[in-house]
Amino acid sequence: MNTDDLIDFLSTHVEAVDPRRQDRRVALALVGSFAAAALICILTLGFRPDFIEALRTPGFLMKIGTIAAVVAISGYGLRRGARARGANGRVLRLALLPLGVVWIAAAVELALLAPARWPEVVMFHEWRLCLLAVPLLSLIPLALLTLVLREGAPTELPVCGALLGLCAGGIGALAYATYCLNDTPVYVGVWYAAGIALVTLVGWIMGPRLLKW
Amino acid sequence: MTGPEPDLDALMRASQSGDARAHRALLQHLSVRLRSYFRSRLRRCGAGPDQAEDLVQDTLLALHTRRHTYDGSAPVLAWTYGIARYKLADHLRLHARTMRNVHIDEVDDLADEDRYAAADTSRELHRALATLPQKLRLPIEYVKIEGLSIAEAAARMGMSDAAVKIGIHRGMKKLAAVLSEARP
Repeated sequence: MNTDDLIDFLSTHVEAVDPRRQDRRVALALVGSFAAAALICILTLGFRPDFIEALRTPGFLMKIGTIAAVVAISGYGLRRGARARGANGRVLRLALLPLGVVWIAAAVELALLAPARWPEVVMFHEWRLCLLAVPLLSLIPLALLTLVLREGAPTELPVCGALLGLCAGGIGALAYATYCLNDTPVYVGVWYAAGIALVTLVGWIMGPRLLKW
Repeated sequence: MTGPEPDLDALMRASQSGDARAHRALLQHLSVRLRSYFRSRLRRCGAGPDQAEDLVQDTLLALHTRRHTYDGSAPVLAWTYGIARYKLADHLRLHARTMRNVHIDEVDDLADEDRYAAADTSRELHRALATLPQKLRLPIEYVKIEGLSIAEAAARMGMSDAAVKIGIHRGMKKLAAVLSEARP
């Protein structure tokens, strides 16, 4: 095909496009998938009975705050990556920073306890549920964000896939937090982090296939 | 293209607001840049200018169908080369795989076929268009080839304006995929 003919074809009746539409879709996907995942969590597992009191405890606020920070930073990375921007690996590393805060708090928590009590703190009886529920609740954000991202122009597919998984995993974890009673940094740093890491790994591996255009 | 560098950001914004002349000027300018970019990259891999031109066209289609992803947060050229690099990597990956299955004495035949295909633009375009379902194909034929307005095409198809626009948007993305897959 002749390239000039192609340009003629493409330049006949050019439709106006809105460059901000994509950001609105990302925001809508983030909020909508969180609402859907939280609703599913509440309907299937139940709502944590002490939710209002928990809002006043530092443990719960730290749990929600750090996971929300992971979602916000990876969401920013997705916004960037979907616009053909490179160097998203740096954003991915930045998104892991809040996790570092949790691990420091977890180390302090363990240091204050007798080593004999460590297994009891780490192996809280619901860890299996946490490890299962976080990835399952991430499926909705994972699907919605994939659809939004495919409308964009992601160019670093494994990194964008990992950001996608991290963001979706964070939303799944936030949804699970409407049920989960354990707010200790050790528990969050081990089992929430493991659930989110699982989804991030899936995103990283599936990224090239999910996001290819 | 030896004239002064056009203001690509202004052209891009005009093109995003539906200015066909700005869109054409932008694509023409970028096609020159893309051609030299792909030629120099492909020369290093021992591939010829035919492949470079295919990549120029794939990238132009991508720039066109993804033009909403440019938001001014980076220069137009950075955005363009980001997409060009993606298309090049995709091409090299695909090509490395198929070249292994091609015997060396078949390469000339393939190149000849390539030249025939390149001779007839409209046939190639129509062949690609024919693979699209009717509700994506007709809006493109009416608006992008016959040059009807959105409203005229909508009236002729008995569809809403919005449906015609969506048909064009989806159809162009599909078309870009069909065209780049059809290449040897």
